Amino acid sequence: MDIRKVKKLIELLEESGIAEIEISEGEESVRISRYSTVAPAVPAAAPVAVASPAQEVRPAEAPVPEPASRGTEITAPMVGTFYSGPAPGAKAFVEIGSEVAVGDTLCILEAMKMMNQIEAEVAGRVVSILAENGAPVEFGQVLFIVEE
Amino acid sequence: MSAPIELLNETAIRSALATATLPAFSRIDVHAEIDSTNRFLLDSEPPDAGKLAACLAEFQSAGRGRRGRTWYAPSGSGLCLSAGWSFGSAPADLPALTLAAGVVVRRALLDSTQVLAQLKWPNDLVVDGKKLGGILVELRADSAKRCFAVIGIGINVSLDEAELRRVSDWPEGAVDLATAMGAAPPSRNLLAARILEGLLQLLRRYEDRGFAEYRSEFVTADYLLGRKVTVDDSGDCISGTAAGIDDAGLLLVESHGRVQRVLAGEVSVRPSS
Repeated sequence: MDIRKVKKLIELLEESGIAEIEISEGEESVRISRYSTVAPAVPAAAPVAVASPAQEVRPAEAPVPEPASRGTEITAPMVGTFYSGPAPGAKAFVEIGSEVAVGDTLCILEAMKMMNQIEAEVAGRVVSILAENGAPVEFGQVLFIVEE
Repeated sequence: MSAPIELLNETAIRSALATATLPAFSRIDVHAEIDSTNRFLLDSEPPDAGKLAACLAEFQSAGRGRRGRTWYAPSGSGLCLSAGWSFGSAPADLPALTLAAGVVVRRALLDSTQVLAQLKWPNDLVVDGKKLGGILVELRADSAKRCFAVIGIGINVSLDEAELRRVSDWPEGAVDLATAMGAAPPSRNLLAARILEGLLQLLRRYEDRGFAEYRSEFVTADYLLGRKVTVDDSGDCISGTAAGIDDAGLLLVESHGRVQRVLAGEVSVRPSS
């Protein structure tokens, strides 16, 4: 994977508010996380160095194929509270790495006792979950990234 | 039960509906027993744009409340009705659809029974401080392109005292239409038709006009206004005085001179001292 592409991904990540992104291109893959797993708790407001655990970056020898897909972002269609499972204590609908089909339930959003079942609009693998169970989310906030 | 029960019946509902609205119904399914009328519609193919799908049942074996809770109603004693509608895209005021549906049910009750119900934010119907019924809106949506809304309505029509105690999850208790009217309640088929007409009108306009034209009527019927309330949002509690709703339908709670907007939580009324 082209190092410039990795740099671009890091910049995108920093702008987006996404915690972690994983990109696969052929047999190569790179995962970039905003927060180092070894660092102690970091104040959220402070700028954080980008750590890239276990990534292998090799200069691309073959011609660079199509630009890397960032995956499909599943965003919140309304404000609300994010629930990862159907009821308190129940198993989460999906986890990182889950394979989903179109129409599979990813989470529930609740606002004013309205329960909104959010479904995958593409088939693929869940590579990022960007909201916490029980946490409030805003309209348009990215909740999941699904890689086709 | 003293009064004979008129069973829910698709033909009776259709003949009670305004003729002009009939083509707008993609289906009206009436079941003797079903797990949940909301679940039935949510699991069905969403209706085409502009069409309303309706499902009613005499008895729900797994009637749904919020977050996996159940809603219990003895067979034939209530009105369990769900209506499904496909929005082209998620309307901006989506969460307030619950409040607007409450306004629709209140109008239908007033029209058919003269009972003037109040609305307890966000989804309860109240008469004399007791719970007459509730609304549970459930949706299936993806990021913004597709949004299928199912509005579920449960109303206590005619229950005996023991049943009323059993259905009540409120300290103030539950009430049925028969008690609220002091007379025999109207045909549930007729009441269902009035509610379905109201929901059809609401859903046809909601994507464009949103909550605005229902808001003032909710405010008029606001049961919580001026009452001391505690809002429990998964352990986070706010106590204060209910101060109405904002334009998006969020509950306003005033405490220590500060007004907070509430999007979620269980609202309980504290007895005034």
